[in-house]
Amino acid sequence: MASAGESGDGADGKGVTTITIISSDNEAFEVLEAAASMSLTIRHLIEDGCADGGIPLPNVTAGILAKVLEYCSKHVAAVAASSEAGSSSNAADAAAAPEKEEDLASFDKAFIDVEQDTLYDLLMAANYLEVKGLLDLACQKVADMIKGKTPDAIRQTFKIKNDFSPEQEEKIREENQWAFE
Amino acid sequence: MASPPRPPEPMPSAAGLESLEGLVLDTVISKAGARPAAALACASTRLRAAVADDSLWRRFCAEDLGLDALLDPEDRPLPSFQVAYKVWLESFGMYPLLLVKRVKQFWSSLKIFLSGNFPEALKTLCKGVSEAQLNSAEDDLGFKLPLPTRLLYRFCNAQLPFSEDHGANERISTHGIIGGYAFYNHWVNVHLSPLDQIVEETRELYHGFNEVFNGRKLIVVATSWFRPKTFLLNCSNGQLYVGTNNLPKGEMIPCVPKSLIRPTDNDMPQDGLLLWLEEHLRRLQNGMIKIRMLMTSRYISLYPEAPPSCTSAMTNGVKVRASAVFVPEHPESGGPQERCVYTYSIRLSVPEACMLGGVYYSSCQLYSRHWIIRSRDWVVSDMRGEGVIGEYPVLSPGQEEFVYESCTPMPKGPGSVEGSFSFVPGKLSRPEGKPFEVTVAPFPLEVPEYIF
Repeated sequence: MASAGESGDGADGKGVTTITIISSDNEAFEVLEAAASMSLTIRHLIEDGCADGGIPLPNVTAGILAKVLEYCSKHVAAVAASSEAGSSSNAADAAAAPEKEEDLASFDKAFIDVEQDTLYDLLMAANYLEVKGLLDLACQKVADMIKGKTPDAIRQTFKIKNDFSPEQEEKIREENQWAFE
Repeated sequence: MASPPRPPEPMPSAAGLESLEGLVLDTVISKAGARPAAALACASTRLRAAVADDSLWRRFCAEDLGLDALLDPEDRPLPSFQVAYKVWLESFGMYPLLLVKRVKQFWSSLKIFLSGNFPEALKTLCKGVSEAQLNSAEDDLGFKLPLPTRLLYRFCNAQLPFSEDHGANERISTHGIIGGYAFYNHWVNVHLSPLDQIVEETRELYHGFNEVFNGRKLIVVATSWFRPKTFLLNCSNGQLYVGTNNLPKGEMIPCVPKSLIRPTDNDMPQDGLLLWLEEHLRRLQNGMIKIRMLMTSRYISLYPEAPPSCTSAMTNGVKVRASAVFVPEHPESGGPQERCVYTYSIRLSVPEACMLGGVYYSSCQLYSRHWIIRSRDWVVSDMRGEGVIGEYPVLSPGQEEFVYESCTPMPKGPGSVEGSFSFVPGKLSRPEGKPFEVTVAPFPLEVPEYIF
């Protein structure tokens, strides 16, 4: 959890450390160090002492970076709240835990409900930044878009060009016929 | 099947599914599952190549089918997990995959157990039957078999049948995978019947007792060598029954807790036969029941070996273990008082040393017994007698247990047996000290949830 009174980049007197992240198009985002550390890539940069003056991410644009940091901030807050509830003797706190889990699940569901292009950008950013939870969430979303679709529907949804010859396509259909019975 | 007209070619996008990095695409395909992966393979050459990564199919085979070897259902080698998935699905895709995995796992685990503990019985297991053979059996019977039972027989056609060859029958007589017990002249060893034998014995049952069984969808699935004991599967409700000595009048007792039976569940149907076999295997694996010797042959003994059914007590270094088994088919069961017969097994030993009053003895010998039998806490029998089954066993430290079996009829309802044995240190012919009592801790007699 946040360490009280530690001076670090952007300490704001409340005793929590913040970090500045800079997008490829030069926009700066100030976030809790704990949130930024959900990205293994950023965490390693912080640990290696590269955080002074902000961490530049040449591969991630402002729009996507904002989304990724929104995900991290929400999830880090949820982790903190649940560990508080765990150590709290307050019965109400403990009872609220499954509800909070549901809240997080709804957040994730709404969060990942984006256009395809944004989805791929999030996927690639989560992969590059090594944010495991977000990568899993985005991969699952794409997987769900594939389930239950015929090859034609898959091509439609993902705008894929059919580069098989008619003979090849026939052969491949036959090979995979078992999946359509 | 007419293929639908090709939709207009969509504009390919720069970023997209096909441009995802290999590991990320693998994760997406893995989460989508096997059938969606096959659909993806038909979409474009790039995706087909991505789907061909055999580590994806190794995972699908393991998760969906419990398959971790490159073998087809007949144990023939296959070139890849992608081919393996297809081959297995073509063979078993008409069943819910979760159930396929479960039944495959059952037979595989049973065979592993038998291979290590009872290889003679493993040899009696037969190759699975085909869909066609199952359909033919259903035609002969005039009704359908529950799905779990069909799948069980697809993987393994149970045990070698009893034939006209008496010698062959004798050789496999104690190799029943369900097993049994032997006390006085009541020997029972239950074998699981192969499909042809099921049809034949079911026909005989209906023929012999038509008014009782006609119209009921019962099949004979397991029978005993030696004394008759018959297990029947009700194909309407999925429950498994054991016939009492009054089976000719239709009297039978359920063998599996009713609440577990779900023959028509969509994803994971379970019938009495599957549940019964799985429970039996669990007991073999956890040592609740063990392989024992009957003269010179191994057999699966149904006497419980562990608490709570098997109790244990130690007195002066003499250990007594005791447990009982319900015998539904015994000729003395039933009657106006609805008697139940139980067989029990008593094991005597001196694990380390026999000690009395600070003195160690190199042996001790049993000379009498005292049994108290209770039915619902009322004493129904309190008797003393000499020896046990006509013997006066001598026990020495470190030797194998002296084991004997006997039986007792009981009024209906739960009960228990307890008692003691009188021993002399040394031998009866030359006692070395004063006689002493050895406790038999009370052990339960009750009709169990699962009857084997």
